[in-house]
Amino acid sequence: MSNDETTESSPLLQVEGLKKYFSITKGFFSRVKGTVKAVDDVNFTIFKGENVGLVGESGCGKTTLGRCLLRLLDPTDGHINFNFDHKAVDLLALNKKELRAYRRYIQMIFQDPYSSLNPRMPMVDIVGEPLKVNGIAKGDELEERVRDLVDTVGLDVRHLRRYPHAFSGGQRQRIGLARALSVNPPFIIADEPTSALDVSVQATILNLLQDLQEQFNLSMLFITHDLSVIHHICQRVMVMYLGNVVEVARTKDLFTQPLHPYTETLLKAVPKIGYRGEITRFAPPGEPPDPANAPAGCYFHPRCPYAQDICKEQHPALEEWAEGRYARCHFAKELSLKGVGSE
Amino acid sequence: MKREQKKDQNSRRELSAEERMYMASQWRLMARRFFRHKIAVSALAVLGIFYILAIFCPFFAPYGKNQRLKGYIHAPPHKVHFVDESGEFHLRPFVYPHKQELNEETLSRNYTPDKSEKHFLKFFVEGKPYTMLGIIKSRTHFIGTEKGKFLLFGADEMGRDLFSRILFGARVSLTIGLVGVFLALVLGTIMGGISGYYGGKPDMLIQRVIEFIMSIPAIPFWMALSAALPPTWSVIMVYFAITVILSLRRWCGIARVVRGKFLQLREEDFVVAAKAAGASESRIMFVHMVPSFLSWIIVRATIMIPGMIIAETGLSFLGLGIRPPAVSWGALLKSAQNVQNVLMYPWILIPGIFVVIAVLAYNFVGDGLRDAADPYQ
Ligand SMILES: Nc1ncnc2c1ncn2[C@@H]1O[C@H](COP(=O)(O)OP(=O)(O)OP(=O)(O)O)[C@@H](O)[C@H]1O
Ligand code: SF4
Ligand SMILES: [Mg+2]
Repeated sequence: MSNDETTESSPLLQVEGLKKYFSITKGFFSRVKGTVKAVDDVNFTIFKGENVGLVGESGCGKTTLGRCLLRLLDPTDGHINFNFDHKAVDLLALNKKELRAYRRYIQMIFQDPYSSLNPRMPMVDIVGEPLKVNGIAKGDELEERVRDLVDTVGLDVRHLRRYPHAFSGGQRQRIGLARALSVNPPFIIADEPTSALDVSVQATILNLLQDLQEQFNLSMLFITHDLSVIHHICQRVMVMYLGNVVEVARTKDLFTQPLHPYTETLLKAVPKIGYRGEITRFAPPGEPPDPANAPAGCYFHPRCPYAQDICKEQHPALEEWAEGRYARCHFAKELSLKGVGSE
Repeated sequence: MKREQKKDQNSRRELSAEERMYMASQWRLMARRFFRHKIAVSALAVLGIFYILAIFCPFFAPYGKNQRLKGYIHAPPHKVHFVDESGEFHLRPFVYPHKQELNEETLSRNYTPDKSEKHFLKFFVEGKPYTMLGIIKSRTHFIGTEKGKFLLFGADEMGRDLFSRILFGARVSLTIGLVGVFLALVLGTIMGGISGYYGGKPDMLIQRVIEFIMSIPAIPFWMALSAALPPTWSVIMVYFAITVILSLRRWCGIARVVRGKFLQLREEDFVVAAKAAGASESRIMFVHMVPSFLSWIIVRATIMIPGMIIAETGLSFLGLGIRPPAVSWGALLKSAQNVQNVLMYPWILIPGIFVVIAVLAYNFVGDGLRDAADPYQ
C-alpha cells in the first residue's frame, strides 16, 4: 500500500464511546453482585484497507470488543459508524432485520478452528452458509462459488463433501477463512486466528491471510496475544487494558518507542523484531486486577513501575501526544520508555 | 503389469474407504459404531421381533384375547414333542391333548397328557376370525393345531390361552413406553427449549414448576392419579391417561438437560458463527442447535423406555393401571398376586419373563446407542 493511498483513504469504521458492561448476578432473585466493565469507553477509527492490531492480556476485553462490533453482543452504550457503499450507518441503531442485512459486511474468523465449524455439516455447507442465508446464491451457483473459495484458500475442491472431522486444525482455519470471505466483506475481525494452531502452521495461515487481504481489499481488526505477529501484518496497533484502550500508534512507532508503561512491559516479552516463534503469553509483573473491581485512578497503577500519587486518584484520559499517537497515561510525555528496536 | 493394476485397484479401494469415512455424516458414524456392538444389535433384533409380534398379535396368537377354551381352566403348558411313545421321530412337532380330571378331595383340576392321540402343530391354520390393524379381516393364525388346542404357556383361571394373551398384552406394554417417552420428549424439549433459549421470566417459571413436580415422590404420585381415573372410562382412554401420568414426571429431567444444552450451545463458536453469517433465529435453532443434541435425546429416550414399561407393569399389577378387558403384561401378572396361585400354576409368572427380556433388551440397545452417539465428543 502506497503512502498517499493511506492518507487519502477514508474511515470504514468509527467507534465512539463504546461500552459493554456485564452484570454479575447471583442467587434466586438475580441480585446484581457487581459489574464487569469489559469494554469501557472505547474510541477508534479503522480506515479502508487498513489492518489494525488489538493486543492485551487475557480478559482485558478484546473478544468482547470484537463481538460488539459485529453486534453478536449488544453494547451497553456507544456508536459504531460503518461507512460502506457511500452510506454511513450506526450499526447500533439498526433493528434486528436491518442488522441481519448488514451482517454480511463484517465477518469474523474465530480462534478455535475446532469449535467454530459445525461438526454436523460438510465443508460445502459451512462455507456456503453466509451466501445461502443472505440470499446471494443457491443451488449450482452456490456450489460453484464455494468451489472457487475453497480453491482460493488452498483447499482441495474434491473434499467439498467432507465433514470437519476429516480436516486438520490448519485446514479447518482455512475453511473458516473461506466462510468469512464468501460474502466478500469489506471488514473482517480475526480473533486470535492462529493461536490454537501448531507453530509450523501459524506462519502459512498468516501468509494466506495477508495474500487474501490484498486480493479481496479487506480491512481487518486483528486480535492477538502475539506482538510479533502484529509487527508483521498490522499498520496500527491498539493496546487494551481492563476494558480501556491505553495506547494507539502506528506499529513502527509503538515498537520503537511506546508511550504507555503497559505497552513497554508487553514489548519486553517480544524477543526480537521479526521473531516468528512460539506465541508469547504476556506476563507483566503482578496479577491482573479483578475486572469486576477495577482500581481507582489509573487502572494500571498497582503494577506500574512509574506510578506517582496522582495515578492513584485520577483516571487518565486517552490523549493525543503526537500525530497519530494516543496514550492513556499522565506521564506519557515525560517518560522515555524502551521499545524493541531502541536497544 | 497385472499385479500393478491390482495394487492400484487396492489402493483406490482403500482411499475410497477412508474418503467414505470422511464424508460420513453424524448418523452414519453413529450407525457404524452401533452395529459393531454385538449385544446391542442382538437386543435390537429381539425388540424388533417383539414389536412385530405385538403389531400383528391377532395373527401370531393362536387364540383370541378373551377367548375361553372349554375344559382348559388352569391348564398347564403343553409340552411340544418330536418323538412319540414308540420312539418314532416326527419331523413335525406335536402335542398330546390334555385329559382333565377333577380331584374329588381338593376339588382341583388335574391335567394329564392323553398319549393315545397326537395333535400336530401347523403353520397358517384356520381358527377364530379376527380383524387386524382395523382393516385386515382373516381367520388364519400363524401357528396352531387342526384338532384340539395348543397352549404353549398354559391357560388362566378362565381357560384363556396365556401365550395369546401375552402377545396381546405386548401391544399395550411395549407401546405405552414408546408413546409415553415420546410425550415426555416433546414436552421436555419444548419446555427446556423455551427455558434455555429465551431465559428470563419464562425460564424462571418453568424451572419452579419442574422443581415442584420433582419434589413429589414418584410412586404415590402415580398411584393417586391412577386411582382417580373414573372407572367408566373406556379402555383406550385409560390407556392414554396412564401414558400421560407416566410421562408427567419424566419430561422434567429432559427439560432440564435440553435447557442446559441450549445455554451451552448458544455460546458455542459455530452457533455464534452462524449468527455472524446472518442466519435467522429459526435456522440457528433447527439447523445448528437441535441436531447437536438430537443423538443425545435419542439415547436418553431409549434409556427411559424400560422405566416406563416397569412403571406400567407395576401400576397394572396393583390394579391401578390397565384394567380388564384390556390386557397388558402387568395386568396379566395381577393373578400372580396370590401366592397359592403361583405355587399351583407357576406358568402365570411367564409374562414377568417377557417384561424382564424387554427391559434388558432396551437397556442393551440404550448402552449401545450411548457408546455410539456423538462421535465428535
Ligand atoms: N457473558 C459474559 N458475562 C460476564 N462476564 C463476561 C462475559 N463475557 C466476558 N466477560 C468478562 O469480560 C472480560 C473480558 O472478556 P474477553 O473474553 O473479552 O477477554 P479477552 O481479552 O478476549 O481474553 P482472552 O485473551 O482470554 O480471549 C473478562 O473479565 C470476562 O470475564
Ligand atoms: S498514569 Fe501513572 S500508573 Fe498509569 S500508566 Fe501512567 S504512570 Fe503508570
Ligand atoms: Mg478472547
